[in-house]
Amino acid sequence: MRYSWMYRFKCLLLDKTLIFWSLCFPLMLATFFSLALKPALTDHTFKAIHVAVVNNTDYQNDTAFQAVLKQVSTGEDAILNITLTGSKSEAEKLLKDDKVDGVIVNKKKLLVEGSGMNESVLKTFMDSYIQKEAMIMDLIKQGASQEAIEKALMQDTSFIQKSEEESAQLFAVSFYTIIGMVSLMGGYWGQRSIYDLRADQSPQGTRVSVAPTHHLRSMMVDILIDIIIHFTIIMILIAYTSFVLGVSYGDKLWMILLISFAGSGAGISLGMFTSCYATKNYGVNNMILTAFTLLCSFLSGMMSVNVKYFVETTIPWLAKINPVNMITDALYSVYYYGGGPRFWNDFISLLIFTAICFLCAYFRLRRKKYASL
Amino acid sequence: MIVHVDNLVKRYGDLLALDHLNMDVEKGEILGLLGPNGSGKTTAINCILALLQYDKGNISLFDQPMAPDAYDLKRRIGVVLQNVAVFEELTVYENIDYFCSLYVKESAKRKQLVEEALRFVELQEFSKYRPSKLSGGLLRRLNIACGIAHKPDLLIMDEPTVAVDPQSRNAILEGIKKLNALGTTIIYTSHYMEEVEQICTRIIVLDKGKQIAKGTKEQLKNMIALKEKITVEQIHITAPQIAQLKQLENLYECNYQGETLEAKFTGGNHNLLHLMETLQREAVAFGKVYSEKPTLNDVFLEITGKELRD
Repeated sequence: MRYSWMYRFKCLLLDKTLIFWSLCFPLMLATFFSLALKPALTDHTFKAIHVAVVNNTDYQNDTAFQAVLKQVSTGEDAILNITLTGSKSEAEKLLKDDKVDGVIVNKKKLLVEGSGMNESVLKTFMDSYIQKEAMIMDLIKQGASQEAIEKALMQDTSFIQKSEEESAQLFAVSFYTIIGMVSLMGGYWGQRSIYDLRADQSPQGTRVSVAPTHHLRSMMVDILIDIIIHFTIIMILIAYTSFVLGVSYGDKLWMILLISFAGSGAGISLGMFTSCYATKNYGVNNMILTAFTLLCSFLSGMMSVNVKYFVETTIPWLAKINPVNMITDALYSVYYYGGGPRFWNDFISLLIFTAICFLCAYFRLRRKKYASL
Repeated sequence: MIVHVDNLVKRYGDLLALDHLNMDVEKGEILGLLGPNGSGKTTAINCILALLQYDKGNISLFDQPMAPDAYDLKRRIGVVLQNVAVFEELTVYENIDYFCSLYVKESAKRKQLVEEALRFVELQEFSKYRPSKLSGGLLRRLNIACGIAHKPDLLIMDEPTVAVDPQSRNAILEGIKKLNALGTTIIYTSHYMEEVEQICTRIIVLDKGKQIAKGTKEQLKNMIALKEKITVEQIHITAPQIAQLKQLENLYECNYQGETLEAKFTGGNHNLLHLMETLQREAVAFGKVYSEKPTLNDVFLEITGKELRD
């Protein structure tokens, strides 16, 4: 018995194709995600924004505005990098040449060309200034300390801090999709197990079938080994993204692990199910599983959130039986609501899905004899 | 009786794969199932192993009905499949040990059995190799070791020498004879008549799912008219001279094609001498001359009208 376990472990662990697609590929994908998303989501917030200020009479007469601009454009944590221009046309030329992200014509008129993070920050800064002009004016008139003015400015720059936090969260959410995808990739392990057990799929399966071994026992041994290996892979992925790529999963990591475990079981049993009911050809079964997983991912909104919304509003039963939707929905519920009933609904749905697929696979596998080999 | 197959019928749609096959295997014999590709040999084996559903008939092994959950019977059977059935991820030793562990739970006993199997197929020095590092012949030997390690009473071998070089084939055939000498009953399927002639004590000839003949090789050969075939090469002979040859006693067929003469005799003595005397008398020049006893291919040819190798 011990030997069967050990050898089955070895057989599955040394399957290079399975290991590549289940472990190496997601690790590479996560690394690419990190390389692509991290700068886009975080780098902007730390660079001073180049802005041209038209040195017109409005500006020259508004000493308070001059003081605020001077305040936010000096020091190491400067938000703005100001260039004073003699005329509006000169400032517009700088904007056109991409030398600046915006032009402050006066405190009520801001010119921008793009719609990126810097432009948004400038717009929010100017809106905030107008809203709080009176307060800052009072502080300056009262001869408030620099600390007090900075505090007031910090309120103005809170949107920047918020952006950083949101970026970090958005960054983590991007990795939920990878975890969801890897969970379903457990299907390939389930398919390999069935391939090794069924006489009509492989000569190894024929050997196992003619041996005095009960099918349910063999299947249970394999599904447990599949889950151990596959869940370990998911934990490696989470550890890698957390410790190497710096993804923060917050204080609900145990929920992410729990749903990944259920997702792993669902994936493995789905693989067993497709192998038992689709074709005798291992490669074709792999392709069927891949196509099914991609379809489920598409319907669960992995490519566009609108598809998820459309499915949930027009064909709600399809959303409920879609395993990828169950996983992503549970992960999003962790992100937005910290878990809650929605998370547990998805978790239980995944367990039911797993049980149905496994039982269907077993009923097919326990069939006494084959019609053809 | 080790195996008893009674009136077995198996259809694949409209194709009749096994047509009322009857088969008995006695203890200690090597039964050969001989037939061309597609004759139903593997189908018969799969039915005996309770892998395939069949339409009609009964199969019993060791005087008990065979079924997929007849684990006590399965424990006494070893199978060597046509396709090599080993795991690429395991070493030679581990493969044998894994498949043996499906039959034998006790680890100390299994260790001994695995080592015996390794010695038997002479793979000791390759025990730590992965199957991908083995040659075709060594791989076939590993395939055999996986099937025999648990020392089955009945060994079923389905074309175990397909795509094997002659040297490895001889080693495998010698091994099979050795196993049989140790008391294992063997069912051996092949479309190589030389192999079947060499090792089988009894033969069943199959064609299109039907048993067309059975018996020992001598019995099979006695079933046909041909008892001696004399071939004369590099011969130039005219029609009247052939007519003279046809007067020879026991000669029932004489073919002349491409400078080769083939004369078939139903029996009798000194056929070669009589043929040579006739050729000398007719002043016919010729090259190499040789006489052959009938083969299983001749048996198959005479019964079905086609070559066994087709």
